[in-house]
Amino acid sequence: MILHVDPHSTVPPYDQIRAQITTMAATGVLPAGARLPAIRQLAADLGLAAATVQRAYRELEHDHIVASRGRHGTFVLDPPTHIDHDEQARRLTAAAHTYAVQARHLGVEHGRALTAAHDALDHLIPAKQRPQRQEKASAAGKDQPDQPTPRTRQPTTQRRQLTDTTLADVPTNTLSFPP
Amino acid sequence: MIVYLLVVLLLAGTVAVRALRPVSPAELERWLQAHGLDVSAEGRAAVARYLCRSRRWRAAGFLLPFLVGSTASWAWALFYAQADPPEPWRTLANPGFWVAGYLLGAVLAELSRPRPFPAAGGRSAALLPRQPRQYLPGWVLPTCWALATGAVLAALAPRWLPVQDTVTPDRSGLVLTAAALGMTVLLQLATRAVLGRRQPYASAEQLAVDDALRSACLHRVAGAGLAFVLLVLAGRVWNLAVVVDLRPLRSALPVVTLVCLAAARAAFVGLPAKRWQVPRTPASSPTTGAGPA
Repeated sequence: MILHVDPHSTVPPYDQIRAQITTMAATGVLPAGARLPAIRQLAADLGLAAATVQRAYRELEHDHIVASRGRHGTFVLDPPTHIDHDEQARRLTAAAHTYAVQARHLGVEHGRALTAAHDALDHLIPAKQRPQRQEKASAAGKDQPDQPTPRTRQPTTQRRQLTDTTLADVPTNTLSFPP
Repeated sequence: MIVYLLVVLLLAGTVAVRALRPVSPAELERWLQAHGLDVSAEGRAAVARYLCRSRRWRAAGFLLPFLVGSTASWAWALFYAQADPPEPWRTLANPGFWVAGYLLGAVLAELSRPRPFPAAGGRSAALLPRQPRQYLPGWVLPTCWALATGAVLAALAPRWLPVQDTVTPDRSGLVLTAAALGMTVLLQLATRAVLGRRQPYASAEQLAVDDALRSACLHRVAGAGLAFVLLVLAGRVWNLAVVVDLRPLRSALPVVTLVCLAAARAAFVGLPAKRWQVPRTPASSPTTGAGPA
């Protein structure tokens, strides 16, 4: 559970913190009920202003990822069982837009950006579910051997690098809606 | 008088020599085992440096009030022909303040310890809250408050209990009782200060060593703080035993005093020597896209 902030990134530090905690909560690295460090502690550890961490926590609270319980601290919430369809679409669109902007900013071509998004989604799947998916994928591949693979695979290191950048740097729903 | 001065100087010299000696490999190994650490040569060197430095600060904190307090009466007798020096020199002769100096030395050693800051590749931190009970047994701070309250009650007890007619107000006793409360507050603040210092993440080993050093410092501080409060409580209870006019209390309170003195020694020596591992287990490898590249 290591949080990393790159002060030279184009993404503001509060958004880097928010994105990483969101990822940790989504992947189960931060289980529901886990307590987050106090704002002052995290700010001191990362060498940031307390207001920066406070803003990240506020955004997380707004996204219903954490809840503040006064002086008892800030805790990770259970993942929501049901989100309103419109709200889901709104958040997804905003996140996709932010990702697209970041990919364009990095000068990444369309195919690579989509591959990175696919890989990032694959990464979020709990480990125990992964083999089943791979088996299903390989079974599907055997059934249709002549069909081309829909995605072009990048070299492993290149994909890894892109995925790291994506998850560490890209905020998901802070920018304005696309027109 | 000369013999007394020689004894004081001999004691101070012994403490100073012990503080200045380097940390032996066996001592370092014992410390690492007590804190459940298995670290590289670099980590061992860092721990050895800190132990050495911390020991010198503590010794300096102890020796300053000890030398001033124990030689003040001698100096006043020699130069001013007075039996007792004025305040605050007289109060510094109380062993409790030597312990308080030791405590301050331990806190300053920790607070002045430089923290590494990973220069390249951004800033990292473990996403784990630092709680006092992770670094120190949970009973220590409440016990310290309870003992300080006990000292206050023991100081106020002559107002409520039947006492001998010859009792005179004990002003220095009240100062000491207030100091016990102040020490408890200081212990609370020191705990907060030690845990609040920044802890940048560079490696799992460095994090574990840093946690162990903080915990060791807090154990020393808590041991000294508890010992101070227990010494004050012992003094208050003994004073009460002398003046109280109730037979059962007159026989029971000296026993309580002895128990307090024994507990003070146990806290001062035993708490820092307690085996303690900080229960924090950060992920050794970066999490999904969240760790350092």
